[in-house]
Amino acid sequence: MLSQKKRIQNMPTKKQLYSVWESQFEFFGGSGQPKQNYEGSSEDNGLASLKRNDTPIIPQNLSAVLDGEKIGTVSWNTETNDINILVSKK
Amino acid sequence: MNFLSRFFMVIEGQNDAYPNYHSAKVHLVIEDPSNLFYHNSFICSPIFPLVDKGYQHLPEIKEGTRITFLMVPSILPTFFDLQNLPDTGNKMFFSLGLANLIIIEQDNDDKFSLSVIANLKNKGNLTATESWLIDKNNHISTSLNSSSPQHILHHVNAGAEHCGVVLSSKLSLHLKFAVSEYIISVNKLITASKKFSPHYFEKHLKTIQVANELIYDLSFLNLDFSFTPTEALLNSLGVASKEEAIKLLESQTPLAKVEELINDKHGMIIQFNSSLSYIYSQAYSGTFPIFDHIGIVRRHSLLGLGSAIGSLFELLLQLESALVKLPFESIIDTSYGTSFVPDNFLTHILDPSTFNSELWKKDKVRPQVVGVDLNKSSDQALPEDFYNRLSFFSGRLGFREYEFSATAAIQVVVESHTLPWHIINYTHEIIHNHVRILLNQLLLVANSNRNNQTYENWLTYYTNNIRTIFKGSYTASAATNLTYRDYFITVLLKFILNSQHYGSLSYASNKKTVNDMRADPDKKIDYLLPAADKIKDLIKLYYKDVTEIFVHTIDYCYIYNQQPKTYLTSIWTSWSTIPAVINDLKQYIVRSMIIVGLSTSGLVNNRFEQTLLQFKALVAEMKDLRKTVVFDRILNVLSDSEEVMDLRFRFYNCIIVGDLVYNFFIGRLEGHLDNQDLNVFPAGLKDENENPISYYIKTNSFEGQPIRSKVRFLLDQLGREVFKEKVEEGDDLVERTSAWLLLLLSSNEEQ
Repeated sequence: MLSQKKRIQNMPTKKQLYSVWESQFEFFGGSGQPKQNYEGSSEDNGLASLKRNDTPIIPQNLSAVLDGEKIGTVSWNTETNDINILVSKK
Repeated sequence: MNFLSRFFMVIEGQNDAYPNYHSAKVHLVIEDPSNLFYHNSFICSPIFPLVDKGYQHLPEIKEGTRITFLMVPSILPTFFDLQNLPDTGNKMFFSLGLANLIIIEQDNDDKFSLSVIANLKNKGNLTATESWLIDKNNHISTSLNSSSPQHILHHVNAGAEHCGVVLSSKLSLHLKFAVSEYIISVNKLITASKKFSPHYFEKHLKTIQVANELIYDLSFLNLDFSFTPTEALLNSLGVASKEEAIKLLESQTPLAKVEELINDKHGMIIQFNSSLSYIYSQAYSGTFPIFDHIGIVRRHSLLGLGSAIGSLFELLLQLESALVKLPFESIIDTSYGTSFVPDNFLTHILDPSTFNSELWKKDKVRPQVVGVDLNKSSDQALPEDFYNRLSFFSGRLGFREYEFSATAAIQVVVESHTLPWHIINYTHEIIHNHVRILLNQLLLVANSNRNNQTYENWLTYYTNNIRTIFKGSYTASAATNLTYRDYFITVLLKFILNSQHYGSLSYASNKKTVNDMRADPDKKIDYLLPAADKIKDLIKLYYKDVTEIFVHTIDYCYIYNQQPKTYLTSIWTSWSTIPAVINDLKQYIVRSMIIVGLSTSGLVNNRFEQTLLQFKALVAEMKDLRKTVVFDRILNVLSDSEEVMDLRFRFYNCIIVGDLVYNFFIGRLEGHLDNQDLNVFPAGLKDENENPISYYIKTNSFEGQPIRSKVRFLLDQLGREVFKEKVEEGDDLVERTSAWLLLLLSSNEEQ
């Protein structure tokens, strides 16, 4: 069950702001600099910010997934016309 | 005779200059101010008649005319009472400035305005007044015995304020410049707030007190140890105390991190300074003496946009004060952090196409967290360190949000009630901050919350969960070690990994592998688990997609009361104004399908079919009502089998995140959102045209009880716009309706 003492706080409080500052700095190099394209930065994309064509500086590193440990397989299910993810055969 | 709903008060200066009290010449005109040609610079504001039907003749401006500007914080029922006074139609008007009520009298007779002032003062509902007597040639009388111009503050809460921040001598000049701007701007803001929006003063002060910490951190980083650093700064430096931080900063080795932190704080201060400049120039221009504060939104340069800003701020206050009641400040301290998921929860997320959210719906722990009636909670007080963000309009930034402020598109000022620019879109931005707090505990978990493990090591626990699912060796005993919070993280991580094949909101499914597998049904493609550092990159890459799914789901549930037609009409008419949406149409179709899909049940592949049918029907309906090209384009996409296949796989992956939010993060906020508003109708009521209505106050009316729930009022107004028959309206009526909506939202009920 919830602790009442803890339950009353959420956002925005100073405590949460600190946590945001810390994580935004750690993951994106800071939240105040107009160079990132993530939520909360000055280049962030809200509902209508798509009026701009910002280029994210985070590398669109989809190729990262081309390397890695094989943990399962993906195949085509002809009955359902769906992709199916299967566990690795032991 | 036509009735008109707007005119402009234009004040012309002399000698090519802007007006002052000695040079001002008053004009009332119907034309748009851009079409006016005067010999001198002028300022102006649109003025709207208080009576619903509009006015027939422009009020006269001549010798003996008296114009009184009043700042009235609470609108209902005051404006309804004023509306029903004799001869209101010719005398009383409203504006979007903090001076939101204007009385125009003739023949040097101020009995009417004096009685209104006395009445409002008596009710404690008057902040300040300014009065002009018009002299010859439409100039403002400044003679000593005319009591014009006259500025009166009707409360005692005045005097210059100081934020208490000291400029550190250790800062380099460009940093001194930023901090100096900050101090002067903040002092100016809180001084004006105390004088002209005393009901917001304490709130503004709290925000500033939190923002001040940026200056403390910046000064401390620049070796001024008279300042106390925040916990966030100590964590970022990787030290436990101020003393350790001093030791680190005084060490001879220059730290790249220190430089980055200085740049970060500097950036945030610059951003905040910019927000302050917007807020001051919009909210406090047109405050008294009027010519001391000329607004930079030209259309509103006379009286400013104080009430319009008030509408944003009131929305923000209600939502932030409601969201604060949710139990997610520290998820780890809720049952999600202490209870373990059932043993079938992990294998359940292996294959998106066979996912069924029923398992989550029936979960027994969920009600302990989100099933609690938050209105009955014993502790309703706001936390000590709670603060609200500031609001303003911006043409360049549009709808956007930051740690200390949230902006709305400037177009809202003239079309706040029309679907493409409806002010309800602002709620989406407010919710972003709530989601940031949630995801800070689920994905971007900061160093100090990981017990100083590296992020890569922290991730190992979750990647092991995923590895275990795939090995098929997941056992009941393993499940007992997995808390709900850990499970949520695993689900989000799985979403990110699935994107390599299924795609996500903003990334298409992997067409090549899909085509390869379709061509050869025996073909099997590897499902890969990248190394932890790569996963970290992927988390950053997909963070925005996860965020948007969270925000849409929360917005849909809390603000739109789960009304799919109203929600989709609202967002699509808004999106239809944005070029980037057309260029990435499928992302927005997936966002919409997640919302529609939330109320479907069964296996995900069946849900996709149900959702597709429902969404198509809704788009066709929207297309009939609104002639917007975007709906044709959506239908084109939905009729292309290859496109639909891509949408299908993206939907499979994304709906699981939507379901996660829907089932585990939507609390019972209805009490706080309804906020004991007597205007709220019981559910299911319809008007004479069989359209749903949920709120007493009709469009453009001042009849009703005080609006305690801005969000419920707003949703009803949006619904009336969605369901109303399309009729041609003149610009004057569109702008008056927009101003009326903003004015009512701005009403402060704490008087």
